[in-house]
Amino acid sequence: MFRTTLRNLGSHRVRFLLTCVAIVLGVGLLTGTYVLTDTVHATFDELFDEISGGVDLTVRAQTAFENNSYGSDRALVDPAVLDEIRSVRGVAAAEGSVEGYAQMVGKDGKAIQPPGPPTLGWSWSDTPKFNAFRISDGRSPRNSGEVVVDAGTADAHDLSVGDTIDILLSDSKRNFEIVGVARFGEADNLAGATMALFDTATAVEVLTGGAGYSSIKVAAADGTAPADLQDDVEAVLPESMETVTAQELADESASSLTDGFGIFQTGLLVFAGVSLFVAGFIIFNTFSIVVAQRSREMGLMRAIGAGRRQLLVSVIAEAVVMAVLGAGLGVVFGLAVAHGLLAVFDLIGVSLPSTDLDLQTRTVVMGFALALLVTVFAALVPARRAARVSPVVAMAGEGAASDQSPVTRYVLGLLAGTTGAALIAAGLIGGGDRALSAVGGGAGLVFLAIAALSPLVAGPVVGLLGRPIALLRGVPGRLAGENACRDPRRTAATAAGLVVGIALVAFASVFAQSLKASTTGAIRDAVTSDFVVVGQTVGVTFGDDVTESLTGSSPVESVVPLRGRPEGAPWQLDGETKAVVGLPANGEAALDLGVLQGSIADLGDDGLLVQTDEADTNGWSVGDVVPMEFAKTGVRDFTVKGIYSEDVAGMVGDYVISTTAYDANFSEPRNLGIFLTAGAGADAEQQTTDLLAGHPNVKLLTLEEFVDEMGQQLDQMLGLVFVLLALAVVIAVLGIVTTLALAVFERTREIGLMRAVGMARRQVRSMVRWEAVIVAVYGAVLGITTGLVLSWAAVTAMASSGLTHFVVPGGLLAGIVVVAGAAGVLAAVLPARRASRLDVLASIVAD
Amino acid sequence: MAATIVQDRIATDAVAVTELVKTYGRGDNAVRVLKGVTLRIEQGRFTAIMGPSGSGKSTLLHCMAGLDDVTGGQVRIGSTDITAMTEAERTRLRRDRLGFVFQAYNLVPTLTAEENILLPSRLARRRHDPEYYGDVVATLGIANRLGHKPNQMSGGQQQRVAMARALVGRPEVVFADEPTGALDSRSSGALLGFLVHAVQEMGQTIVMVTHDPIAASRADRVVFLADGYIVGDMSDPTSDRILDTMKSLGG
Repeated sequence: MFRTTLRNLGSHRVRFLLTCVAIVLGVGLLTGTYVLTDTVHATFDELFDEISGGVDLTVRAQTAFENNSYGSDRALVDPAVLDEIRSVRGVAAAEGSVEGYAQMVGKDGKAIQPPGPPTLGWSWSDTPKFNAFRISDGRSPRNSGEVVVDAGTADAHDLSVGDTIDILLSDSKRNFEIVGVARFGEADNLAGATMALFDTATAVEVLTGGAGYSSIKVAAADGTAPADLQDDVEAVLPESMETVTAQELADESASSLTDGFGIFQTGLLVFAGVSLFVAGFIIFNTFSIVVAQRSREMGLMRAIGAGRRQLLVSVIAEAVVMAVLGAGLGVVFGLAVAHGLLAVFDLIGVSLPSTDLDLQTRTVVMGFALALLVTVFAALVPARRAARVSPVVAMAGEGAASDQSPVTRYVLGLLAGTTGAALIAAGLIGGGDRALSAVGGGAGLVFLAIAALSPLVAGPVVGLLGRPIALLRGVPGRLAGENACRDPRRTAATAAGLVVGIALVAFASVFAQSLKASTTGAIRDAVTSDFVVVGQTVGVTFGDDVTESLTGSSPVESVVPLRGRPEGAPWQLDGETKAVVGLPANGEAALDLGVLQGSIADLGDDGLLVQTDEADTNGWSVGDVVPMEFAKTGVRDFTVKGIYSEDVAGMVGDYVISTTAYDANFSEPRNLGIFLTAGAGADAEQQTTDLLAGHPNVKLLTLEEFVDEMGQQLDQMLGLVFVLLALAVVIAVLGIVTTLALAVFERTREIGLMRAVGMARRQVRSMVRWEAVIVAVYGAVLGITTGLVLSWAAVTAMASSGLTHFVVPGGLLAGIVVVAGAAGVLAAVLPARRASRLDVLASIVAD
Repeated sequence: MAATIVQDRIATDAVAVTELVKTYGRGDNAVRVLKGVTLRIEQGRFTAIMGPSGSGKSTLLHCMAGLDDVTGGQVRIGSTDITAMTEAERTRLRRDRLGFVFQAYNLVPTLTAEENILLPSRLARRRHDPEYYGDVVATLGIANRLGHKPNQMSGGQQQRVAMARALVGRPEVVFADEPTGALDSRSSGALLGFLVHAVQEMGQTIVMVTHDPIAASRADRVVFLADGYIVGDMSDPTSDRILDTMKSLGG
C-alpha cells in the first residue's frame, strides 16, 4: 500500500511540488523568525554576560515599573552616595556611570538618526572591568572637549580621530573633538544605537545637567562574595535605591533589548501563521480533487480487497510524505530567511556581532510539527471521502465518491463562524494579553466558516462574473464561466486561500485609512496654529532648547511644546499602563482640545485633563482625584480639572497634564512637537525656519505638511504589511495553479473534442486564463467583503480609542481586484499552455 | 490538356489521398500504420471504411480529417493540400470546412445542445444560417431538446446533437468515427437513417469508419483496409457481401 502512495507522489510531480512549495514558504517564514530571534537573543545574552562580568553590583534608583526598551525612567543617584559606597568594606572599586541623550551631527550638517534605535551618550570608564567599550582607534576621552564615538557610526558617517563634531544634548548643542573610536564588545555598536562617550565628569554635566549619576558600578575586592557585599552596600543606601547583581543586569539588559525584537517576532509569526493557514486550504483542495479523480482506481482497490482503513491511511501517508519533505525544505529556507533579515538589519545600520545562526531543536520540531498538523488535518476530509468510495465505482465508470451532506457542512460552517466572531469580539473588547491569540484564532475560524459556506454564493457570484467575460471573449469566455461554475465547492475551495490573503489586505487597508483619517481629523480639529516643529526624522523627539530658540523671537507669537514619547509616556493606574502628554499653560494659543469644562491654563502641578470616553469609562468628573503612578516618582495624586472632546484623542491621547508636572515625573522630558503661531506675512515661515538653524534635528512644517507627514507615516506601515501579506497571496495563487492544472488534466477529452471541432490553441488558452481570472476575482470580491466586515467591526469596537472615522479606500480596493485578476492570468500561464498543447486525438481515441 | 483533366477530377473529389504513409514512434520502435494508401472520396456520396482491428482505418480517418499529421504522401480536401498545413491552419480547416461525429464524448458537458451545435461557428465568430439550422434540428428531431445539457439527454439524442453540429455548417465532408459504436440497435438504425438522408437529400459528403457490417451496408461504397493497405473497394454493398469480404481478410 505504501508503495502505491510513493508511486502516486512520483507520478504527479508538478502537483506535488506546488503543494510542497506552499508548505515550504509557510514553514520557512516560521522557522526563519525563530532562528532570527534566537540568534538575536543568543548574541545579546553573550554580549551582556561578557560586558557586565566585571561589574559585581550596580546601584541605582528604584523604579515603580519597567517601561522602556533602553532602560527605565529612574531618578538620578546623588554623587554623595558614591562616597558612602566606597567606604563599605570589601568594595574594591566603585564608579558613577551616566547615560542619556546625545545625538551627533554629521558632516553634512544633518543630525545622525538611526531608524528606530536611540542616540545615546555614555560615560567612559577608565576601569577596564567597568567598561564595555574597547578603543579600536585613538584614545579615551580626558576632558570636556573630547568624545569617543562608536565604530558603527564612525564607519557609516565617515568620522575619524581628529575630526570635530557637533553633538545635540538635551538642552544644548556643543562641539567636541573626536579622540577615539570604540567598539562595544564584539560589535560595532549596540543594536544600531549611536553612541557618544564622554569622560565621567563631562557626561554628568552634559547628560544630566550636573545632577548626578544614572547608576553606580561596584566591584568586590578579592575574597569578598558579591552576595555578602550586596547586603553591606544596601545597608548604606537610602530607601529609594536598589542594587542588582551582574547576572540580573545582564539578563535585564539583554531582555529589554530583545523585547524590542519581540513585536517584530510576533508580527512575523502572525504572517507565518497566515501563510500556513492558506497552505492548508491548498492542500485540502489538491487532495479533494485528486481523490475525486482517482475514485475509479480506489474503487478497484476496494474491489480487489483493500479495506477502507487502508485507503484512508494511503491518502494520509501521501500527506505525511508531503509535509515532511515540505518542512525539511522549509527549515532550510528558514535559515535563508533569517540570513536575509540579518542582512537587512545590517543594511539599515543595526549591527549584530557576527554570530552563527542559532537553529534550535525546538525550531525544527515546531516546523515539522506544524507542517504535519496542517497537512494531515487538511487531508483528513479528502482521505475520509476516499475511504468511502464504493467498489462499484470501479465498474460503473464515471462517478464521484459519496459525500457528506452539505447540510452538515453548512451547520459546521455557521458554528465556526459564530464562535470565531465571538472570539474576535471578546479579544477586541476585552483586550489583555490573550487579545491577539483570541482575535487570531477567531479570524481563523471565521475564514474556515467562509470556506465552508462560500459554495452557497460561489455559483451565483461566479455566474455573474462570467457574464461580461462571455460577452467580451465569446465562446472561450462563456466556457471559462461555465467551467468555473461547474463545481462551486471546488471553486470556493480554490478561492479560499485568496480570500484569506485579500481579506487581511483589505482589513489592513481600511484599518490604516481609518486610522489615518481619524488621526489627521484629530489634528485638524485640535491644532489652531500655523506651524508645527517636529523631529527631522518622523517620530523622533527633541529637547526643549528648540522651544527656547523660538520663544520671544519675532515673528513667532506663541510657542506650545507638546511633551511626550512616540510609544506613549507611560504611567500606571492600578497596574494598567496608560499614556500621558504634557502641555504648557498657554496651550490654548495653539491647540483647541474641545475642552468642555476647565482649561489647559489651570492645570498647575497636579491637574489632569481627561478625554470624555475615558472619563465616562472610569466614572470620573471634574474634581475627582486620580492616583497616577510614574516609574520615576511613584504614585502622585492628580485632580481632574477638565474633560475634553474624544475627537482629538487621535492627536493627544486620553490624558493631558502640565509641562511642569510632566518634567517632574519623567526622566529626560522631550517634545513630540512644538505648535506655534507666527505673525502674518510671506516671510514668516522663512524667518521662523532661520530661528531653527542651530537645531539640525528638527524641521518646520505648515499644518498641511504636518498632516501629510502623519499620513505618509501610516502609509509606510501599511506598505510593510502589504509586503508580508503578499506572501500569503503568492501561496494562494499557487493554489489556483494547482487546481487549474488538475482541472485541465481532468478535462483532457473535452479539450480534445473542442480542438477537433475547431477550437484554436489561442482559444483554449483564453478559456483556461479567464477561468483563472474568474476564480481569482471571486476570491478577491469575497475577501474584500470579509475584510470590510472585519475592519468595520474593529473600527467600531475601537471608536473610543480615537478611531472616529471609518474610511473605505475604494480606489485601493478596486486596485486589489485588478491585481487579483492579473494574478489569475499569471496563475493560468502554465495550465493554459498545457491545455493548448494537449493531443487533439485524446478525445477520440478510446482509453 | 492533361492538366485540365487532372484539375477537373480533383475538383470533383471531396477528398483525395495519395500514397499516404503514417508511422508512429521512431527508430526501432517505429510502427508503420499506413503503408501507402491512395484513395478518392467522391462528393455527395456516403463512403464507409472497414477493416479489422489494427488495420489503420481510424488512423486513415484522422489523417484525412486533419486531426493528425502524416509521415508521407498527400491529403487534399477539395483542391487544398492539407499535408503542408500548420496546426493552426488545420484547426481553421476543421472548424470551417469539416464536420465530425465521434463514437462517444461528442459534446461539451457544460454547454446546452444548441450551444454545442453552434460551437464551431461561434468559435469562428461566424453567423450560422438560421433557416438551415432549423431544418437540421427538425430533421434530427431534437428541436425540443435544444436547451438541455448533455447529461439530460439519452445517448441517441446526444449523437443526434453531434450530427447536427457536424451538418449545420454545411461542411465539405463529414467524418464519422464509429458513430453508432455506443448506441443500441434502434438508436443506431435511426442515426444511420439520418446519415443516409443527409447524403441523399442535402447532398452531404460523409466518410464513416465502422466495424459494423450492417452500418457499412447503408453506405454507397465500402473501402476495405487491412494491415495498412487498401485491399478492397465495393460499390452498393450489402451486409452479406461485406461479411464475406471481412472473413476473407481474417477479421
